Amino acid sequence: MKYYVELIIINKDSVRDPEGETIQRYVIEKYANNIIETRVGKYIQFKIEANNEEDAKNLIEKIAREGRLYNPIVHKIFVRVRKE
Amino acid sequence: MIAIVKFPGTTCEADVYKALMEAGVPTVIVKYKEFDPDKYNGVILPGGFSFGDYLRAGSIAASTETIKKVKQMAEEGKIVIGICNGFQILVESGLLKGALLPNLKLRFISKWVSLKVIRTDTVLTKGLDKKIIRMPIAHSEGRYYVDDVDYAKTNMVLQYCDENGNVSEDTNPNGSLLNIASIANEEGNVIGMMPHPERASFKLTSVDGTVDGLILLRRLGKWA
Amino acid sequence: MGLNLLPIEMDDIRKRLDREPNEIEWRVIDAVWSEHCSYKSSKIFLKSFSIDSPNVIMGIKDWQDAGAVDIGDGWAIVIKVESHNHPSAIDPFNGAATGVGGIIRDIISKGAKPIALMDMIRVGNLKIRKNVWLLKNIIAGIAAYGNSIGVPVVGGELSFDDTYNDNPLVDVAAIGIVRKDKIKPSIVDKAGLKLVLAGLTGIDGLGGASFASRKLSGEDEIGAVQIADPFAGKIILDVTLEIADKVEAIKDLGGGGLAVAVTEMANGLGAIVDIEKIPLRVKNMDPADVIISETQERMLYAVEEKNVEEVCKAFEEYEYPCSVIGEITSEPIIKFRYFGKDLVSLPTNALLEPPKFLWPIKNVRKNVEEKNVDLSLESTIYTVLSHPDLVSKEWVYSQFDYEVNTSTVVKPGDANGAVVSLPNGKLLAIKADGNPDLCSEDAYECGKGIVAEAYRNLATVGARGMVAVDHLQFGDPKKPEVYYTFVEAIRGIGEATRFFNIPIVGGKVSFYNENSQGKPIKPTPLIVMAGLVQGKLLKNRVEDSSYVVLLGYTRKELGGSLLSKIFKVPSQVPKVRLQEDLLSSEVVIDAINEEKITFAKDISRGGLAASLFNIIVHGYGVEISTKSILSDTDNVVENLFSESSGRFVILTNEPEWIVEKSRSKGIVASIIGKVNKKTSILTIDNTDYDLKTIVNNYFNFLEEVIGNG
Repeated sequence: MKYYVELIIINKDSVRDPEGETIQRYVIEKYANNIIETRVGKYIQFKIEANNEEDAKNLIEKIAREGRLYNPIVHKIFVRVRKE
Repeated sequence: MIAIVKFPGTTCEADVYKALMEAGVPTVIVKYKEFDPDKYNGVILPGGFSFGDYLRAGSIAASTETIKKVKQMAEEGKIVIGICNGFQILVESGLLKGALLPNLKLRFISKWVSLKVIRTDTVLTKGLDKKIIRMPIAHSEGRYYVDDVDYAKTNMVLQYCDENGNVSEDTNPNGSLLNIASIANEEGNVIGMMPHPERASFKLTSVDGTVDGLILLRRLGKWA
Repeated sequence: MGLNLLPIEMDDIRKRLDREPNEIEWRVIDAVWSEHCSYKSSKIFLKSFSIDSPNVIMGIKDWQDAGAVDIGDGWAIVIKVESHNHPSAIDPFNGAATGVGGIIRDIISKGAKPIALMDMIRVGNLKIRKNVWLLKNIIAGIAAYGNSIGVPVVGGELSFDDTYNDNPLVDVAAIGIVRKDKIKPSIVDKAGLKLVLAGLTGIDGLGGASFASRKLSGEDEIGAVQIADPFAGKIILDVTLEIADKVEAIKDLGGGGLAVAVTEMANGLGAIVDIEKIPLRVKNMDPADVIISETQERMLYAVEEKNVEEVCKAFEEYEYPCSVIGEITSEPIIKFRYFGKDLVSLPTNALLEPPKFLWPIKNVRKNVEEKNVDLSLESTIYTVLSHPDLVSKEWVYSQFDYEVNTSTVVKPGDANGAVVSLPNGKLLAIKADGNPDLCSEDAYECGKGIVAEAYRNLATVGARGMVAVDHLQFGDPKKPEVYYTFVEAIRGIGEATRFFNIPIVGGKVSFYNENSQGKPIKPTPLIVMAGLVQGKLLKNRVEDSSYVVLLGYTRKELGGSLLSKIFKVPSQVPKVRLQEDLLSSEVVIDAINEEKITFAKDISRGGLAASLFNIIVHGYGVEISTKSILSDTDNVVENLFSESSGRFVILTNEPEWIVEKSRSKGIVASIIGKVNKKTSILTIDNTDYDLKTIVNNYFNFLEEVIGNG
């Protein structure tokens, strides 16, 4: 079965995000004053042939870790799966 | 008088100033918040990392009040030149059509290149005899792209080429459409260019003694 | 509590205070007394570098954040070297980037405009994927920061050794220019000045100074990660230079944050800081964290009350936070208060004078049992010349904007030294050199050797060294065999700089470079030297049919050489004969001024063979006769790969002139061959060696290994 797996890489909450801060200050705050915070991350989309959603998710988590797609010292990841 | 606008993060304003002085063009550096379009006949948006190049290079600067004033100048037929980050600001703000995407190799590239002169009806290239000029580039988001290829063909000013003027994939440092290094509006008063003419204006720091950047910048004297 | 202090230090401070410090005070002491900030294991020896030199404006004696020398016409240059080894090991992008940020702030803290950066990177074997990841991100980090703030990276070094697996060395050097009479100190000399802080304080890098003062533990070291914000760095740079006239002293915040900055700025006087006045990025920060946070892109200014408004107004224009957080007091106590309550109250002098350590030394060097070198010429040529240390670094420097500021006269990759133009029309050459292989064999000869090498490198562009900074990178100083090499290296560097009369005006010490198994790196002292081009500048060019002249005696001293490293050949280390380095450099400078040479390369890594290879990669061939090499050995391999010092390879159309000139100065020289158009062919004693694949490797190695990594 084909799945789309989305990997979102974002700085851990305790780690600064100057890009998010700058966008917040120079762009977002011009348009709204109830947006509390802006964080910027990376989005990678995979198309996988797998038996089930769980397998697809686990595979990407493994690759993200071993292939250093993110740096576990500074980043956290979210992995989302959907069927094709 | 030609104004050089400095945004927070702009790094090349002093170099452009030095080069314009060398070219005999009256000029002054103006902080972006203090920019008054009525005082000047032309404006240069120099290279650098305005607002850190955050989000997309040039995107935050493009939405400032300052650029609204620059648009006004463009409509009045005054000179508007965007160099490197300045070019990025011009496309982000719609003053020039198209977009500047990350280089194909996804890396900052710093090198001297040869450029083929295509249009000689812009404020920088009017009456230019030289067909091949040399200048350095230094950018990571310089891949020019526009949906309308015919527009690109008609309006491009400079193309990346080899020392003999041959335009090919090998001579394209960043994957730009049609090897475009510079493009202008139809009237020729609004020009965007990724290469840095101010860095090719002094013999001492030129790789081969040429000062092609100075040759281009001198033409601004007419309109300053 | 996680303190790095030794029990003996803790007792010392208890005695001095006559009480037990509270928890926050312990953390402050831990930071200020860390090796990184206090140089407690090295200061005694660093003092030996101090030479009385008329050009020095700020030197070792002054112990300020950067050194400064007079270069004439009312101008001075400021020079500094820094490293970010430990952070780069766990977050190479931010570690390297913040290294650039930090050194730029050190330069502007003197009121000087930064005009050049250099990066000296040492990583492990690229066959290990992690090292590729480290290198890629280190270079990306330096590029991101340097390019963003508009300071050109004009040169550097990149070399590889297994000793740096997991322990990359990321060294950055910077040069700034300032009017002599406008140099700003980092210390104050009167009370009543207000302390003004620019920038927001957050929770980054807590414990960073401490982190840099101990070995990597392999645990989650997140607390020490500092995130780079080059945009903020550029704002700090621009505004600081704008307001430098309006302030009395400037200090950048680095290791140990405010605790260290305030203490060092007070310099014997006292200070009171009200923590609630410090603008924060993160709400509800623990006041203790505020004191030692290492958030980047913050500067501290000591300002006369009447100038404070103007100073902060300049920052407000950029929407950058700026506020008065305290003042300098005459009572020599460093106080951090929170809403009037003293959280920290420590005597300045106790903080500034940690116990100095003299660790034991032990010489574990064994005498070398020399063996005759019995290797085939062919195998040595092909193996040594394809070593990654000798490949083109274009992959690296093409990621740096080296043209910004329109002052880069000699571009990266073109020569052995970078050359930039100064506002008074003079040309400044800069070079950095290190040699860990030699240093692990004989740290003393190596100390002399790297100074001599830098001196020779500057001569190849026509410059004479006039000032230097040093960076001393070693393992755990408490290990006697490590401390021995440290002491010996300093002895060597000190002797050589005195010989050349080149004052060392500052430097850095980075100890505890060891992996989690406790293995120290090879001793890696580094010299960064700068000097003015004396007359004419030589821009290297290769011409067909030009003669190859070798200056200086070649000696059978292969210890520490690339050949002996690859083939494991035990051999004597080069004795650095400083007189030969000095005189041969003078020959080169004179020859350049008389326009008698077209190409000059000092002989160093890879020996004569590597220098000839350097000519070949320009698209030519070289033929030499080894009988013409003046040497104490007949062995061809030894002659081609010896790295004994004091030598140059020159290309000239007037070889006899060069030989005569050399002799008139007491240096031997011989014509050993010619350049020809047989591209990629190295002809030795009439045998052709086709180096086409090695030349290919030279141009493509890094791109192939890293570009796809």
